[in-house]
Amino acid sequence: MRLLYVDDEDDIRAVVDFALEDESDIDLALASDGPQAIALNASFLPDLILLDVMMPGLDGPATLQCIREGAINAAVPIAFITAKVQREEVAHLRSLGAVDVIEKPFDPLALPQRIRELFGKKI
Amino acid sequence: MQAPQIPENEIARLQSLCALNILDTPAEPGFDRITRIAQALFNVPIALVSLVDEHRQWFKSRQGLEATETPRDVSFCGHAILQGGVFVINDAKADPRFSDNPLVTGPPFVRFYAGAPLVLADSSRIGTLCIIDHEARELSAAHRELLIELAFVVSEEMDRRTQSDILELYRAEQQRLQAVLDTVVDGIIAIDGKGSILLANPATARLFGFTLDEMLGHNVKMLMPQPFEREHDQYLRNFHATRKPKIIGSGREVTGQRKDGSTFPMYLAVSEMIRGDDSHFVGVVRDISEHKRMERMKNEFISTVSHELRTPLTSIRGALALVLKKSGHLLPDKSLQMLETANRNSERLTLLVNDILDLEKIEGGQLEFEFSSVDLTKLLAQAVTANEAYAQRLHVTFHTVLDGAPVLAWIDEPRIFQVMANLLSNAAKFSPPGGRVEISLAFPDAGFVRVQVRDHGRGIPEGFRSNIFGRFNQADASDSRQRGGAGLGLSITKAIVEHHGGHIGFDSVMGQGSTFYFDVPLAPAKPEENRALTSHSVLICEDNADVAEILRVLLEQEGIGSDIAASAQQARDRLAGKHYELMLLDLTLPDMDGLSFLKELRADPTQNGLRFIVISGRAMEGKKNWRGDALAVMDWIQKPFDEARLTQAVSNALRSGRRAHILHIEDDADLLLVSRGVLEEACDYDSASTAQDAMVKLGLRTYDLVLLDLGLPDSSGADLLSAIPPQTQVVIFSGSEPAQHIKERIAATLSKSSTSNDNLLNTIKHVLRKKARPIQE
Repeated sequence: MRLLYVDDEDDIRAVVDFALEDESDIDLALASDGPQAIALNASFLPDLILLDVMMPGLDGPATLQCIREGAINAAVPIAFITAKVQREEVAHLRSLGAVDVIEKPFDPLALPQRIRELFGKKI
Repeated sequence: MQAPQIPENEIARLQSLCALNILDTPAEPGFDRITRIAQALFNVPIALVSLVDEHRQWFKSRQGLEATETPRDVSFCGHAILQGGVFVINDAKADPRFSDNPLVTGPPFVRFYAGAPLVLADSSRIGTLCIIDHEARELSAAHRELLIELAFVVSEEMDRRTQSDILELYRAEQQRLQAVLDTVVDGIIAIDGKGSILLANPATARLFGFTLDEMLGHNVKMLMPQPFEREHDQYLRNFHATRKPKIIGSGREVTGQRKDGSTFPMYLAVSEMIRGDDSHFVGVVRDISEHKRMERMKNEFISTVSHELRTPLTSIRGALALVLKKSGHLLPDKSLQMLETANRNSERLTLLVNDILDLEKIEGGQLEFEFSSVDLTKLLAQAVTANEAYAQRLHVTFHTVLDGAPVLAWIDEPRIFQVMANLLSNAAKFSPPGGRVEISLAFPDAGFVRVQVRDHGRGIPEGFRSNIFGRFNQADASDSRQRGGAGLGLSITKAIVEHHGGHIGFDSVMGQGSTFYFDVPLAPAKPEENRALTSHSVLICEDNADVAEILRVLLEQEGIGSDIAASAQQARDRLAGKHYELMLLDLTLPDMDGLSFLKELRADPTQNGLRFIVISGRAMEGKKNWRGDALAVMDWIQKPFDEARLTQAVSNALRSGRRAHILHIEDDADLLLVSRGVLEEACDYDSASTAQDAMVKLGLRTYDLVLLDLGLPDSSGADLLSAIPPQTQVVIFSGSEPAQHIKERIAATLSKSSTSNDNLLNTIKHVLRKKARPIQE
């Protein structure tokens, strides 16, 4: 399965990369901003996108909207990754059509399992 | 000798005399001139202005006499003030009333006495103008008239002084009050029963940008924005009709409008001022814009900090966990240990960041809860598993004592999980190495389940017990380093449990350990499959026919009947024809803005018991802008809605039902005022200050709960118990303990000396909740 992870924080991308490097069933691509994510969605054709919410320029929700309005892989399941953990913030993110909202800081050891569950549920 | 009688109006007379403030003052030329004239005119050695107070006569002016006063019982003047005209004794030696009087037998050797009473404007006779001779003589009718005329001059002078004194005092008082009104920082404004402004101070004018002239005589609505302005008339009418206050008697945050139309948040406290038959209202107004701004900044700051901390934490925690997992085995022991320490502390930091955010929300009253039916045993097992690793590190073991049967509780699952985790980690933290922590369930009260966590630690020191649920509290400062945690956990835990209507507490024995427990409500029994519709108690106010129908069917599946109104007008018609408990309200209605409609219904006294759930695409926006009372709206649900969330909210709202009616029987007016303030938000509060008053009130309606003082002026409160119907709960709120034989009838006992406002409110809620949900066997 193909996973696209989008986050403007280099350190967190590195952590995710490290966390998933041994997972042979997960094919990972990384993007550091919204435009790159939109481009990779069309070329890499991920089965799932994990999308950071707070990013400079095009933020997570705006990126999601662009992908939904695009012509290629527009219906890809997207889960938000966010440090905004208050209930109404999480509820708002869900209402935008995210399949899941993963709160930061997340447990990197539990991440592969969580990703597989999302695949299993939606694909 | 005969002592003078006491006049009938003695008390009033003495009051008038005192009010003159003339007793024991120095001589004054005006009065002395008159006594000199009298001395010469009547050709007597002695002339006096004598004032008769309680025990003596005192001379304001005297000619021919050294003494300044004599006892009242030997005085001639004491007799003279008993009658209207001149009191004359031609020869005291020949008069049996005076012949042995010491003033006759000794100095000043009175033989002749004539005294004309001094009569004040209020007709009290405070003393005399009198003349005395050492020889017996008579007083001609013309001289009597003259003496009365002179006495009149003295009285008039005294009256004049009183009036100018009073005026002076009044003016000084007036100036003092005015100075207070003029300089006080808060706005003070008085209105009559119709809302016309009678008085306003300069601060009010400044606050609202009007001049005083522009405000006086105008309706106070000029200071309120729509729709409060519209509500206000209705409100005053309601208050006059029902005496049910909304703001009156307490204070709250409202919105004010300045002359230029701009609005600002203000704190308004209103009291009723009854003058004769009219009731007026006095409001104290404070601009809280700055306060609000600070509060907002603080919230934003905390939210930002919490967010900003999370990002680096994600990297740190992630990096540490991964290194430990993937390369831990390659590291020297010492390095591994250091990395584990770092990892553990990054986890702690994460918890702390969560705690700070939670605490902030709890304090702001913004913590939101989503209740559902949850198997507590399962949740408890999860909490134990989640904390086991931590306990193992401390060499502590968890032992769960459960019989395996599910126990359904009505809780917010993640929050109660948080509570359990907090108690479990605390128990582990304060256990000795090798210690054992026992977890069990109990059912202490009908409708509630208790979770108990018992440790065998050193116990809680006596001095620390009272504030264990406070913030940043650990038994001693060194604990926070040794044992971890900032001491926020228990205060959050307590707030969460109390939000469930539950109670948290502990028992502790020094050296033996502590048991912490909390009670949460059991879930209501499931409705039966083919149950008939309970009643048509829900009104769906929604203009989209499809959505309305979906809602109706959803409710029907839950056994709840409902009607549909497609506009505000249709809803009004429906409400006029039938009683509804709950309205599901869309904010976009064809004929009216939903929030305005909500406000209109809230102001309608006939719809007092109606509750609301707002279901709208604009629910979150509406919630932000809703300035009405928070309790009116049970829930705000954003469209598109989650079906489970909706049905849960509806059954929640229906279950909590109407507002409970409480009668508080208590003779202390101050305490009643406080209780009203505390309880009014949660229930319809009524009070009685005597047993008799209470009997009348109990006869007029059925109360859900009676809050009873045992020491009433006209009866012992315990005697009232027989007048309270059996379905009504009784809570004793008194200075004395209830007698053993009445304890059975009592749901709870509170002691006046040790009950905080929160405590009172929680106990009442607790008792009412127990009643609302009897256990179904």
